[in-house]
Amino acid sequence: MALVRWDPFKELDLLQERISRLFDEAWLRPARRGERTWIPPVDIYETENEIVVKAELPDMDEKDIEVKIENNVLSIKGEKKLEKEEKKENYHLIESSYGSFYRSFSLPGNVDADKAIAKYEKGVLKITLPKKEEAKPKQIEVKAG
Amino acid sequence: MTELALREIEKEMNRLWENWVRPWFEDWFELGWEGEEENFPTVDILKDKDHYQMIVELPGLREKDFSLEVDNRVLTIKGNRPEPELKDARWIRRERTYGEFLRRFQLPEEVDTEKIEAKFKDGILEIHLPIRQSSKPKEIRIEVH
Repeated sequence: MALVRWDPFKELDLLQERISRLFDEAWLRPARRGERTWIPPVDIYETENEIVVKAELPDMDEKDIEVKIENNVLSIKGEKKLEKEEKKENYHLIESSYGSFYRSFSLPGNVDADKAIAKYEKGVLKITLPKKEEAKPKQIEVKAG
Repeated sequence: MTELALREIEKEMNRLWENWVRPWFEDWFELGWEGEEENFPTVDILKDKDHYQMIVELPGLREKDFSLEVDNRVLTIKGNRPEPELKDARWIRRERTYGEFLRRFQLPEEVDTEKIEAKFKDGILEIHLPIRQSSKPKEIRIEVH
């Protein structure tokens, strides 16, 4: 989207839409008001020797993140709280996600869960899952016959 | 719908307006954005007695991946999220977005743009925007006869 000058009427349209949405959220799902959840984006890629999972979890404490592997399912869960020192009235705008999150992924059977490593750095959780020896691609020597 | 229900709706609308809409209009204007995702990076704005604080989430980014500038009361955050280069690897899941981003804000008149400071740590950019002292309301002592 290119840079546009602020147009008050367009802003009002957007406002109307936002208010309708706020109504939807406030009235149709009153039970959700207490809890807050979000879905952190996750990348997964596979190399020759391992499977790498990267979850975007900005501004968190490692102790609030839980990583588990059970029955070949990797689960990442935790809770990110709003800054405790600031009261909610001080916020003019909150776009960052907060609240509890939970994501789970089935892992291919050839992953060695015992050797998994999880590291949280610069707001990204990186989980490295080495493949079991027998699952790694092997070069088969071609003998002359 | 009963009159009571209508009044409740009106109260709710006023509350939503006061807390979320009016502050947005009166203090900060987003002038525009560019990039793959509208709300990247997310911005939280807090107001304290003598300063505003902007918290910008830039997970996984290094300092050289973005820049922050203030020009004529306009604050611009822009940069590029480098796409990971996979060598001898294949994607299994891709949810994070990459590429260029830009967000631009009009700063409120009361901000002293000369004294803005910023700190970047662990993927979080914190911008400290002091409010000009003279623009704070002066309390007038009332003499009682």
